[in-house]
Amino acid sequence: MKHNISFTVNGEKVHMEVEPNKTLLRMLREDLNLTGAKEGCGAGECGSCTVIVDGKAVNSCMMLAVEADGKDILTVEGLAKNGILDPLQQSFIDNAALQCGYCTPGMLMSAKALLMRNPNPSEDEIKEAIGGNLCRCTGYKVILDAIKEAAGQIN
Amino acid sequence: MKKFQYVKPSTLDEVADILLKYGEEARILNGGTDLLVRMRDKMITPGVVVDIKAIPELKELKYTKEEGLYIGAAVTMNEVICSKIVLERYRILAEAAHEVGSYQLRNRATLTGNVCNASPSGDTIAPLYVLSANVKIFSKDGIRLVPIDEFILGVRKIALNPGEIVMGLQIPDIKGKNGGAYYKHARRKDVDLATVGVAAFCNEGKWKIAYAAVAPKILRGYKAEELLNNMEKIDEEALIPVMDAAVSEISPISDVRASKEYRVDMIKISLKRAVLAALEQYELGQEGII
Repeated sequence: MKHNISFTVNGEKVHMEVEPNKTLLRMLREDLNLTGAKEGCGAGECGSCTVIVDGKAVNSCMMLAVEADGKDILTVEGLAKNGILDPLQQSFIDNAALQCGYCTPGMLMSAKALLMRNPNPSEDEIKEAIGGNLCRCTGYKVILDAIKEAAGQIN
Repeated sequence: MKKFQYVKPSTLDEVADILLKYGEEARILNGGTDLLVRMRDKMITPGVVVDIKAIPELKELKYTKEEGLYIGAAVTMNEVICSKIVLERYRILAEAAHEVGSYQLRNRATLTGNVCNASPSGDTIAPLYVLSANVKIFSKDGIRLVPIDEFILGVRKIALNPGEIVMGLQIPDIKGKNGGAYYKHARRKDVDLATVGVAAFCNEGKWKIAYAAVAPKILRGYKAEELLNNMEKIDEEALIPVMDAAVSEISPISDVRASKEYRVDMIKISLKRAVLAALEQYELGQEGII
């Protein structure tokens, strides 16, 4: 049986009919064409599907779409405003903090959730926030640098 | 994932009715970090998935001197970690919850879910053992409390009867001087299961020890406890017989994370580190009084 759900995604109200066995990740990608969040492992180990739900970073592969009812969701597509990149996106580019880019939307959303709750994080807090996001090509140092720069810690 | 029916009741009575009606066909959805992975892999194929996150009393975290700490089933790991009362009075629990998965996973995963999953390596279970936690269980007949070491029966096996649902965990108030620590030995800091783990807790000179990932279920270290309780001075050298006692209490296996022999060696080191860290907390004089 399908369920009628309503939620906000990147500031827009959405009404949907979803099957219970669909994950939030699949709904975002297949029904809403928001393909920024990616499936890597599908089991909460790689973080490439990370989105922000009610202000909190979560693995969207391990949340059902029906559970999004009433929630406020932010995906990587919602970071840029009026054609201007979020400071995090800009600093990822400036620091070359990506190569293949597959982990980048997840990294950005984990970092965004961190800066939303803690605008001036320590290096350990940054490492904790992205500890669940695997990158297999860039290496983490430039990603840490990019997040620090976005937080105004490096000029 | 196979098709299933999704229900989101708002009372415990409704949950009990659904569980009685569907039996084994029904599964509880809490944080989903274990359930949805097992469903995706078709290790389980429930007909009904019961989301319990709309039940108000399962979201509660409260402390009273009489009853101690109640952590509702739907309270997330990060909510436990950030709770002032947990940090002040049950620090070992916050530390252990912090060892689970990754930050975003802890926004969904729950303490009760970790207990009900009953994995031999569940990070929060050993600390709950040494804190003498009880599992609070609801059924149509009323509420019962079961000591956690009796609730966990084996790998993914728990003492829950048909029609029963876990409401949360009840941890007694701690009186007097105390200190505890959980030491997790893993291959990497985040998103890994414990290769072995040890929880150590000392209250007014009485020790409680629990071992993780070295048997089908988390084990209390009774022999190690007895040695520690009779020790005048605890230091690295004095701990050698306690480390040997720990080895005699466990039955580790070889698996993808480590060999049996490595686990035997590491339980010794982990025990030593957990006891010394707990002792440090104890000597800081963390009093169980506000």
